[in-house]
Amino acid sequence: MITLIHLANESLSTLEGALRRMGFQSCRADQPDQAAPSGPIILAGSGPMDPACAQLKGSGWWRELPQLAAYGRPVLGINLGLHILAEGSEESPRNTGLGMIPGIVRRLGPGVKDPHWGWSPVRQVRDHPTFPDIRGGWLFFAHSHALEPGSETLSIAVHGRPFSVMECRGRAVGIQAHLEKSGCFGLSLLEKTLAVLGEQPGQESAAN
Amino acid sequence: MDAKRIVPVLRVIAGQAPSDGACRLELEGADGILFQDAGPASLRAEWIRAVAGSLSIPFVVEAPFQGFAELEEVLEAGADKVILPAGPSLEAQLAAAVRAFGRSRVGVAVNAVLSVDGHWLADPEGLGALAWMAGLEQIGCGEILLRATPGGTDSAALIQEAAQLSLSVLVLCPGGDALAADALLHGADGLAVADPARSPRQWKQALAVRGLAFRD
Repeated sequence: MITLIHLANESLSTLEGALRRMGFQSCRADQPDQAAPSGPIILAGSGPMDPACAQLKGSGWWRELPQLAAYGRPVLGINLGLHILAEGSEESPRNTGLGMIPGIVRRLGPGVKDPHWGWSPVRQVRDHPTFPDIRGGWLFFAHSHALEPGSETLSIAVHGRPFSVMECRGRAVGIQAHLEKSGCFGLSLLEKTLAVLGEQPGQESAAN
Repeated sequence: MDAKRIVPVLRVIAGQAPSDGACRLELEGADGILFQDAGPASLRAEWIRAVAGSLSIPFVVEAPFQGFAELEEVLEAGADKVILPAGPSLEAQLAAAVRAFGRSRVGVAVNAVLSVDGHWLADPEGLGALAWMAGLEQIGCGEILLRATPGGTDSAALIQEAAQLSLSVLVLCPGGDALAADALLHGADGLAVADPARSPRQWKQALAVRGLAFRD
């Protein structure tokens, strides 16, 4: 069972619909005690970072998420979720990130459309033993900030400058693109990513 | 490099969204869907949740929002972005929406009309269209849905100047291939197209010969 952290002002309808069509089971969790007992935890969002961090701190997720990950629970951050998993962001200088993925999130540009709202080709820059090859794929992005690529970044796209699209540190995965809104290719990548995190369609995940 | 977007326009009538049509357009290469809903606000959340649960591409809702609560409901139901119409409280509504949801989820429709003395004016605001769009960008607008009258070649300079602002410009399709290509070549980020006889993929094939890049 996949747990979707429910952030205020964010809609999970598209992600839930995509998971359902692929045969995954999911539940929403406003706070940690509503999470499924096992399976990946997804933190997805596209809105401002400050209120999201405040909500996560108030609900207990801010403290629980790193602890669950430390015990081996897979965590997937999508867009704003990736930014929160990183060490910090220029968007929210008063907050540090959760630090589960190294690196700092910086504003895109200057001299580019803001927000970056559209489709960009993605380039794989580092092979991973289990993650799928996304060479040549187009993904949908909706963001003004992005993680600076690092030595372990798996794939990048370019909007004025290169930015990280996919990161994997142990059981913590961050993806800048909205895979659930990236057509068949995005759904395929989401399914494969969840498989890497131990989740298969149509069955409960193994205990973590 | 970002791809130019082909965004079919679908009308929502009395709370009935053409969901099957939207899914078919996704398979036919649409890069997003623009739903225009002039119907009752009370019917919106239901069709938006249904569409969000079945589409795997972004979709935008243009509607006459009466107050913040209506657009909040649309975004929380699953729309990726709202397009706010012109109106007396637009700037305050835009600022509140950007504060709550971020730039990426809020756009504004701009109706630009060429005056008899050759200036583009935003209708009904009556201000210079470009200055009006620049002001919206300053407030935090993430996208302009531009309707230019007359469209086509006459609007090329306006599109070019608008495209130099740091926000996305989606142009309501000005007509046939040549005019559509002109809009994109002058810097528009995408076309909103309502031609039911041609699929998004056919639009892309027709426009690719002009050197424009589209998502495969």
